[in-house]
Amino acid sequence: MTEAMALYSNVSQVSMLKTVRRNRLLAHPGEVIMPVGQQVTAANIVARAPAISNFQIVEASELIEVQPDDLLEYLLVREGDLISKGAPLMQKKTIFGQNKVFRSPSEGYLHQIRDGCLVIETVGESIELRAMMPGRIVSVIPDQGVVIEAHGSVIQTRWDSGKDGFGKLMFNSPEPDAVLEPNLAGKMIHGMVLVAGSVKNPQVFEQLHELGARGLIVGSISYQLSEIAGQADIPVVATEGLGNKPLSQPIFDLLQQSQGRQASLLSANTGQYAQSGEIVIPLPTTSYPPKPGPEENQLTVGSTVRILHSGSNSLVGKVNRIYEQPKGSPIGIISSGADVEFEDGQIMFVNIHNLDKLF
Amino acid sequence: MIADVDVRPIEELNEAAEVQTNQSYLVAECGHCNTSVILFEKVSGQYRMIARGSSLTTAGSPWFDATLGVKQAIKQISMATGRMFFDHQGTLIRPARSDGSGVDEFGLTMSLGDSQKVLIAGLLDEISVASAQKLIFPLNAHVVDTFSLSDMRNRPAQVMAIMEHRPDIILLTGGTDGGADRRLIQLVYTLTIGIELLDRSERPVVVFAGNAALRSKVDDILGEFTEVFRAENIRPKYDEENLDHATNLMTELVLVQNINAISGLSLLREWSGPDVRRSDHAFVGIGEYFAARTRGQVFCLDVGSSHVTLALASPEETNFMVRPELGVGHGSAELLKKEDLAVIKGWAGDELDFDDIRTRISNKVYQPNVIPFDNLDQNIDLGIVQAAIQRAMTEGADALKLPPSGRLPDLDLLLIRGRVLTSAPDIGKALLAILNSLQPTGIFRVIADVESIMPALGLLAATDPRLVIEIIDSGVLDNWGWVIVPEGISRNEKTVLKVSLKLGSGETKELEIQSGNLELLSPRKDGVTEISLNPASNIDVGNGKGKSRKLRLAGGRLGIVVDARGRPLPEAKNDEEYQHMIQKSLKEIGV
Repeated sequence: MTEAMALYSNVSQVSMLKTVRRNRLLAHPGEVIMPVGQQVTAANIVARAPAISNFQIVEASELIEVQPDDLLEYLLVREGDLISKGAPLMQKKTIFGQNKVFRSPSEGYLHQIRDGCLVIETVGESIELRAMMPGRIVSVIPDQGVVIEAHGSVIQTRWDSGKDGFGKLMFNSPEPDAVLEPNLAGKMIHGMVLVAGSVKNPQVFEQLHELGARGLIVGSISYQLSEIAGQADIPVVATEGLGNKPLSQPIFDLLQQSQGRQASLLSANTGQYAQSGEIVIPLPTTSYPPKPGPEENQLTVGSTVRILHSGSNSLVGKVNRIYEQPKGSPIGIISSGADVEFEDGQIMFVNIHNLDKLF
Repeated sequence: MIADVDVRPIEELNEAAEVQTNQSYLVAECGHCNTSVILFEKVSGQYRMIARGSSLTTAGSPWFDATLGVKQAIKQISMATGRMFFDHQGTLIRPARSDGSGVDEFGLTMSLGDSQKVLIAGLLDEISVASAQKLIFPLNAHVVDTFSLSDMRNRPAQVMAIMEHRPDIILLTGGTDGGADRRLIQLVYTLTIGIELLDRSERPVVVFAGNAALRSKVDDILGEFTEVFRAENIRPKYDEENLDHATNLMTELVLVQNINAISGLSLLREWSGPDVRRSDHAFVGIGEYFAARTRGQVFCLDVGSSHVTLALASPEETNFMVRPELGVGHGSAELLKKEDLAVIKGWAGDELDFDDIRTRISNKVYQPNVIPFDNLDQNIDLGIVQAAIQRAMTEGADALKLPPSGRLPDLDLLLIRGRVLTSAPDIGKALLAILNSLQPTGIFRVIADVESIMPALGLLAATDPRLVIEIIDSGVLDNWGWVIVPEGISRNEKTVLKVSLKLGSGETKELEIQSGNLELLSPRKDGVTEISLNPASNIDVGNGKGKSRKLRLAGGRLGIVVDARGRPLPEAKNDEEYQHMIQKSLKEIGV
């Protein structure tokens, strides 16, 4: 028996039912308030952190014209003290024998006294981190956040606007290439995540926000519009990336089957706990899908793949042969890859770098 | 295959491990997008490259384990050679056993890893700060801010800058050994305030490379809040520069920070012991080898997904820079400015407008692995390469010690790395992108590292220099041919050079090279071509103006290219003219 051939290719998972784990992390250290094992809804708060502190630095020794080492003699406050705006900080006798008082320019804690400087920390309102996805907390990352596990459909996205959201899936048109126009007035889209092939007009984002929509899923979006979408109040995701491609058929089919269900739009994370952007559609199930094996993220014969290219059509096919040893592509680039069979029966060798495994 | 599995008890396998065979090496190279592994071994007393495997790099989503890609590449080598490299536990078998399994040594080079943010804190801009900036040039790092005596910001503003930038490393320098200390200590306190305000997990490490007399004091002040590394003073005296120790320390520090940040690399480092180097450093090491061997000027060029490396090596010295966050994948995000887009548009032709190009570049940032699917994609990639090299050359003029004109000295050899260039289906196009961006001069050979072997050779050079010589001499590098750049070309004259080629058949071919043109001569692809260059009276081909020159040049995959477009290259009046110039050159170079 020979070992089945498998390669690592790009992977954008599109799965009907899978166990999905998602990190929910604070932007800076704070307090995790949900324990391991806790069931959460998408709206539940799982962690909170004080807003990013502002620091005001008072060059105290310069202000009262003393050496940094002598400053303590003149201070009326100590490290850790809560100081109100205008409260006396220092006092020094003038040459005429009068006491001159120096007052705090802001309210906050005296964070530190260092080399003649006073550092006052002003703390804003706390930031609350919501689960954004219903599920069970399976792990706590101390001071940072939680890992939530859920079972349901998952679609990895190739571009997102950097915001998270959740709402019920609603199709604007039954076509994968339908353009969402800014003519939504009067439509019942409050609380919905809209699905469309593409969007061309930036007014759509404003309308969706005004009408209470919770997000937008499109096949692709132009570069110019992606910059505007990044500033929009609602999360926007593109399953095919930037450009002019419609929703690819397997993604369109899965979203259509899920119409009316709640979907979470989760943006990509970078850094130590990096994760791709995902659309998660939780499903009520008592039979948990098996944990994914390593082969889930490898390309094998039978894998459904999307071809990554810069054209405007969405090519999806099935792998029917793997080439571990390098082979030339139609334009002569040599690398490992696979023969892909398309719906019309055509078979083409595609370099491994241009293959994106969907499932 | 099941039949290949060794079923002996583990004790017996350990006994077998004691038997040494010929020296063999597996060397992995982990890039941002691609991972390759090469097996070198002695065959009949000579080192040879036996096999090579490759995979997508698996350090990122969804795998988050760089070892998977390395193992996949090793598996390909196993399939090609029938040799086992892992035991039942999945551990790399080292050293090689008498049954032919395993390998004696494993080595690792890497170019993946985020560029480290460095804050330079020093006293005088033109002394300690200038030396500190030089020290950063060859590192996978970039300077986010600089504090010095000429900094007009007050202390609170500097503290806020530390909070805002959140540097990974603070390079603290300043003061001659035993010199004045007051200003430097004041600076140390400023840094302390800023560092203490950061969360412990975000605090930068500090490398102190200033006044040696202050080392203990700096440790005392800063050591409570973060890790402090001591380096020798980079300016021990006003007129003396000493970068070596601090450079080595910073190189190691950046490497370790990169390794620690990427899942799986720690295991690969365990396999490889101390033998881990940045790929760009190892590559430049091979450039130095060629410079010493040819007694000439060697230019090393590496364009990756997220870095551009430029190095100029001569027998006397090497100057080089790594420009992180610039490249053909993730690094193309920096090429959305108008002047860069105009270059890329020139390559794309009429089929795309500027918005299409922006969209394609942005997709490259999100999908850096993707390679050209059609000829238009390939042209865009090469336009990106040209724009990236141009940008790096402009920014790297100081690092390369170029004169104010920014021109390179006459080259003898150009070494090229980077998949977009070395694996281009049409290497004429790739060479054009390089000639347009570097604008090199001289008569020089072009060699490409198509197998991505040079970092491995650079790594092994320190332990086994014989291997390097034998592998290079075995012909693993891709010889593209030669480029001749006549000097002194003005736009007014017509014929600048007459060329006489003695072809393999014995017949002679005469050619006249016109000003403004790029000519691809077609000599024998192998063997040696005799070539006579007879320049016009004000043109120089290396022997002085108007003086002829005879050469014997070994052929290459592309042949001999004469670039008579002049230096600097003529500037286009507008985007349309630029596009026309690119398309004309593409035709001339045979595309």
